[in-house]
Amino acid sequence: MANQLRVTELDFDTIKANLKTFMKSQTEFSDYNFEGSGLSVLLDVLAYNTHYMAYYMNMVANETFIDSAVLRQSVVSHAKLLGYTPRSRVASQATINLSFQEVIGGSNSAMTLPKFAKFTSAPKDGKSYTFVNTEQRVATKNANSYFVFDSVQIKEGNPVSYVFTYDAQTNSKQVFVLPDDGIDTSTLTVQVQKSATNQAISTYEKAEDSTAVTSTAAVYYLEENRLGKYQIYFGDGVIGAALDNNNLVIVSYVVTSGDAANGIRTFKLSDNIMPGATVALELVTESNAGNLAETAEQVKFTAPKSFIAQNRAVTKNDYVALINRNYPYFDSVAVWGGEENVPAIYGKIFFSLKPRGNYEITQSEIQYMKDYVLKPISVLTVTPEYVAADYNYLNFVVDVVYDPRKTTKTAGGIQTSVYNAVVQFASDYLNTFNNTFKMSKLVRAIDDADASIENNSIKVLIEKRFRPTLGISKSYRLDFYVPLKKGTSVDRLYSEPSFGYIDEFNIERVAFIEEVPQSFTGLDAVEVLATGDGYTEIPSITVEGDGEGAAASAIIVNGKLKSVVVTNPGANYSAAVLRVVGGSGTGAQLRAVLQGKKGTLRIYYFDSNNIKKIINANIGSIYYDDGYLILDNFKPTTVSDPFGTMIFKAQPNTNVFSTTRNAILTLDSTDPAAIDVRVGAVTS
Amino acid sequence: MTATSSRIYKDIDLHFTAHPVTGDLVKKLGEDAIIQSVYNLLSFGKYEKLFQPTIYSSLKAHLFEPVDNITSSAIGNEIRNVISNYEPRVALTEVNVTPEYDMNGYTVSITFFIVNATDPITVEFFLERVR
Repeated sequence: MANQLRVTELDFDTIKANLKTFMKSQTEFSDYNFEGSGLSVLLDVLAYNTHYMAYYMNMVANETFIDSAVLRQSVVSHAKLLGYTPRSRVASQATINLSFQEVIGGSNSAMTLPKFAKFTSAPKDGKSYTFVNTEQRVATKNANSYFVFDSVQIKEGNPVSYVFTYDAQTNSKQVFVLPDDGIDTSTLTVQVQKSATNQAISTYEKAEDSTAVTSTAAVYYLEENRLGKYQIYFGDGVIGAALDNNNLVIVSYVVTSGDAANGIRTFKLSDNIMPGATVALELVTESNAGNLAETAEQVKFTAPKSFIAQNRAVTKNDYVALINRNYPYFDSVAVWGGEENVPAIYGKIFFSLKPRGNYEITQSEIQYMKDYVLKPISVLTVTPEYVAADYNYLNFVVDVVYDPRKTTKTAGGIQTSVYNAVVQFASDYLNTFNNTFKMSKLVRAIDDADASIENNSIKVLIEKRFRPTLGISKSYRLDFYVPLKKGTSVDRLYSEPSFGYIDEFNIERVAFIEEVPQSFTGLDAVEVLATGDGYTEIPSITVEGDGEGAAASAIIVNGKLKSVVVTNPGANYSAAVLRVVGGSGTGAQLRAVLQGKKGTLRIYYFDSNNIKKIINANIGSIYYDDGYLILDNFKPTTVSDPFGTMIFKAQPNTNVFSTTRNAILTLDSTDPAAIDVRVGAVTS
Repeated sequence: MTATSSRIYKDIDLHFTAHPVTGDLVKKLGEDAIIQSVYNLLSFGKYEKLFQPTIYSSLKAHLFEPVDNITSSAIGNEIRNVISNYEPRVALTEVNVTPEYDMNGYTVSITFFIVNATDPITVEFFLERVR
């Protein structure tokens, strides 16, 4: 019916229009249509009231569901039902080495670095920050009379401590509100003292899993209250121990500025811990991983996902999420099941971590991750295992041609732009597990670095670093995870820097390793077609073909030729015939396999006349298609690198390559050889 | 044949006085209803009319200016604007605003025709600030 009042409208204007429509059906008052009339004022009030109520009801309904809630307190409350406490602010964290040299004649044998020793940072954006260490450390005096504290983790923020007295009358719910904003809850410690007179103290842990909490468990619960402050509360004597009247609750934590203090490299100890001592401080990792508290939007995103995982690590993503949540200091986390390993290992889950701004993590962090983060929540029979990340450092040699008429930049300026474009590309696309390098993306990034760039060509080298054990003969396998290009006489796989190697005359040489040119045209393997019979001695095997240098030796078992080992693959074969000579037996037939799947590595040095001399013609093999190399019985005496690190550089055979499991593509921007930009100008 | 429509305008009285005999709400009819509407329009401040911020006259603001010819002319313009824009039932003929320096206010006289009516209506009032 036309004069029926519609009730579905929410907007003021339509509500008022409805009221006017309704007014049309009566004759008592006719002036509803004029804005100045008294009726219009009355309709305004009615429409406003209706609109207000509709809006209010809409908001109430919105706040009832986590998807549509807007107010932080509603979102946090919904998250609470899903068993999720929003992540607090996270303090920026740096690692330093500290050493103290006592005054001459000092007699201390050990010293203590107390918890919350204060460090001052160099100013960042005009503000310097306070950092503190979060655990007490003890060091004994070493042989050089130094007290050394290695890998001390310091967190940005000011330590704060409060003592609350529990009064069962006024605070029956045992709730204590932490009064500060910007708390890093991972630094929160809670202790309970019996009373002001009885000083027995026990430390309480944060309750994570209520099924494991007994009636006497010393646990506290943490939550965010309606005002956005964190508050702790205690058990009721059934799930978790309850407080006794007049207990003192001692809380301490760090109040931090979050991400503002990331990226600081210079620190100074500001507490006078050992008077008169000379303090030396060395940076290990710059401050990183500082983060602001989760916003309402982030909570809406994470809380349901955390609920789906049920605080249990079952799927791959559960592990990734749990590691990131408990330890947000990683650029990337890789998790894979043992069944994906080659060969498969069942009953284990493997994880690999790339720390932010660094390449390796400490043993204690790994242990913590395994014992406290993963094991308690992973499925029975599944053991988490850490695998160190295997870095493929990418090197880029970029040739750029630019048109000087199209830019005011000098060649040096173009070089800087291109360099920065490559660094940006690396931070956008590399440094995470399970990622893919795509050459075309890099080509485009470099082209876009400046409008005057006409062309660019890029040579990619993959660099593997490893530390050989000195003086001990060992075999090594280095995985590049990428099909490798077969070398030419001028452009092939090589090692850096030089190392010491004993040659056949027992003289130590300054040696290098390289790919033998054309070695992939050598003999890959020998197939035994017929074993023959009656071999009483080991026969010799001759290789006839268009190449040279190949040699093989036979293995005889019970008078039969069981197999053949290629001792030297030689080079330049397109066909080869093998003959078994001597050994008193007959009937053995062999076939040469020339697949070009592997090349040979050799060790060489330059003599005093600068002539290349070979020490060992076959120290290992390169498997081009599978992308790895093997060094056999490699026994260097020294490596001319302060850390004893050797580097192999090889070219990939493809423009798109990806990594799986613990392999990671990265760019070491601190390595001056990592990016080589050569700039040329257009001549015509 | 020419048809003339004469509507009877019926509005509520914003003083909400009850009829002395029936106790019903008193109605404003015809001319009275229109005059009440004109008064209302003149008294709306900015944003006072809900969700219609453009319907207002700044008379209150002008009363805090010095009493002189310039202000009185501005007041006159405000009155003309708001009535011609938002009161379609009247055809405005004259607005006189005279400053009364001694009494710190203005004598306002508005003359208009109600559309379709023959007699002009003149409304006169004294405008002054009360605080």
